[in-house]
Amino acid sequence: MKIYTLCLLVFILTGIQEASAQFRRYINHTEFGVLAYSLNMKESGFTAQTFNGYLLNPDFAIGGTTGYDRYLVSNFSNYSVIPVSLGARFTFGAPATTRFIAGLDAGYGFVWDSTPKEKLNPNLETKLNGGIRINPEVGLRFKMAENSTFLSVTLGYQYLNVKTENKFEMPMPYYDYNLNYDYYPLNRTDYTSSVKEDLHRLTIKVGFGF
Amino acid sequence: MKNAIHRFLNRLGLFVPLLLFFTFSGCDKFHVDETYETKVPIYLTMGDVRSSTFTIVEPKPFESTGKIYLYKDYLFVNEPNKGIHIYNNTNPADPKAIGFLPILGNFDLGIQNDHLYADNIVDLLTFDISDINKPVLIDRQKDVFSVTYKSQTGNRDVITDNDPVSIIAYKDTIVNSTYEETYYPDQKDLVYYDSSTGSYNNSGSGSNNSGSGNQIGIAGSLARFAISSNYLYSIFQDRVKNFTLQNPKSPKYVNEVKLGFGIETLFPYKNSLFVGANNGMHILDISVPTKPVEIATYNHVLACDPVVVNDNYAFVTLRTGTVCGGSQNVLEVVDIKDLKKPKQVKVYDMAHPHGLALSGDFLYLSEGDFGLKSFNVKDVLNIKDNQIQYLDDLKSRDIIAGPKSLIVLGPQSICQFDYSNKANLKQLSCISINDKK
Repeated sequence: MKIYTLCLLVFILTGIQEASAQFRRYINHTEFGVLAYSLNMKESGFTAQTFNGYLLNPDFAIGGTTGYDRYLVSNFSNYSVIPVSLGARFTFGAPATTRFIAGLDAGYGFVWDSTPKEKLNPNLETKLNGGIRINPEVGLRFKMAENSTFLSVTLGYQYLNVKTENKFEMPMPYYDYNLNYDYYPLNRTDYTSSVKEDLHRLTIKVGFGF
Repeated sequence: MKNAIHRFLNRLGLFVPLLLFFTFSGCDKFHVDETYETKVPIYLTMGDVRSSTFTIVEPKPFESTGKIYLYKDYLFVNEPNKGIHIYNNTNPADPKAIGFLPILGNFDLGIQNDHLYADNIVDLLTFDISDINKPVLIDRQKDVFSVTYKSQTGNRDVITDNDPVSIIAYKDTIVNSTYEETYYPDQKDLVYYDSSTGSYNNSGSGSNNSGSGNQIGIAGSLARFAISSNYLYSIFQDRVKNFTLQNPKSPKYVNEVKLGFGIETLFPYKNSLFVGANNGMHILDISVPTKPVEIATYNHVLACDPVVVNDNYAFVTLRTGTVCGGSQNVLEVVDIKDLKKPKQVKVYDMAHPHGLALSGDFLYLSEGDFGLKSFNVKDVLNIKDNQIQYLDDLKSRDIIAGPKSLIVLGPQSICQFDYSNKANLKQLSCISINDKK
């Protein structure tokens, strides 16, 4: 909620300041990239998103972002995500062909399970619910022509919260390597679990805009 | 100047996120709340075991059998981990059950002069059995068989009175547990914190098992307890532990000889102790009982191997089995005239040989599920040609050649035979066993 308040504040302030200037008010920023745990790129997913916004001043825009993310979670599950976020883009640095760009997309990610069926236990019933998705980024923006077309390279961080509800009615093998099997019956029944998952990733994206 | 600061801040604005970026390591954090129905064990602690009274109870059916032991006219049969069944065997044709002595964690026993020595998890117990109907616990040597225990709080060398050692019962319970896991690539296992489970011990005591002018019982060849000249020898993991019975009411630990892993059986003969191991046979000189000395090691292939000996030869069986990892089923004859230099004489192929017993020139050999064989072994080079009898329907594991009868322990029965006529075993009686295996 804090983030929305902050956006609103910036919006009002910058809006007042630049109200009289004449410039194109629309901006699009479309990006593709990887969702990685770290720079070694192991077990990465990918992201594609597009931002459409309103320029409050030539360097600052607010708008909305949507797209498609695909996560590989714990080297096992595949999650598909459609984000619906509020976004902001800020260009800064001395006026030149190459300038810095910073962006923030904050909103909700609608999540569903794309894990191949053969990997899943048929007796396990899983329901996925989406959650908050936040993606701040910073990078370079290269002006392509006299008009407003540009390319971008950004590095960022992306957080996604997912909730899963699991149900397992068949006896389930008890796995706990701290205990001696002899002393525990080897099954559990009527197993249910709810899991809150916090997925933390790096993003490396290339994009274009106009 | 103002511009320079501005530019610096601009660069810093990019530099800081970049630095964060290069050092960042993403992860998946899971906060799990789970609920399930399970059976939760109710434990008996070592303290409960130590404070309990050991009293003989009514005879009960066997669930499994371990070692057999003959003392005077009494037959003792261990039920692994549970206790000892006692029979009055005055008449081998009609052994009469006296009762069952429940001893948790018991695998072996040895008897001398009316004193029964038995292991109880990590302790060594002494019972006075002068009245066989009422064995009385007279001594407990604590922790003589303790090993290293793994627990969630680390490894320990002693079991405390608070440690759970056995499960008495289970109760149906709904378990709610909460824990967190974090996943990073390159990490083999999840980092694991469990707030719902307590710490339980791994309490498998790798304890053991057999049996001079003292009145001593006769153990089968699979025995891991052996009594010789007032000393109790016991196989324990990779070593033979030695207890003095000078004070028969309270055996005292003396010392131990480390022989390496895989030692299985003990057979005392005169001043030597023959230790069957799965990579060979060790010979210990016990003429000075307080200082057992290994005088020779006879090596052969990996197998399970009980040993019996006479003055000149040792008879060793090797068999294939998942536990011992052997690849041969043979009877080996080893020349032990010079105890320091055991020499292989001959190897005979067998079906699946287990325990054996020697009575004069006659060798009785358990062939596991393939029956029981008897041989005249006077000519050790021609044992196979001198097979006397083959009872192929008598599944057998171990044998005692007792004064009144030949006692054969099998998976389904303990049978006794009149072997006064060596050429023809005559069945006297059978106690049936309800073996689940």
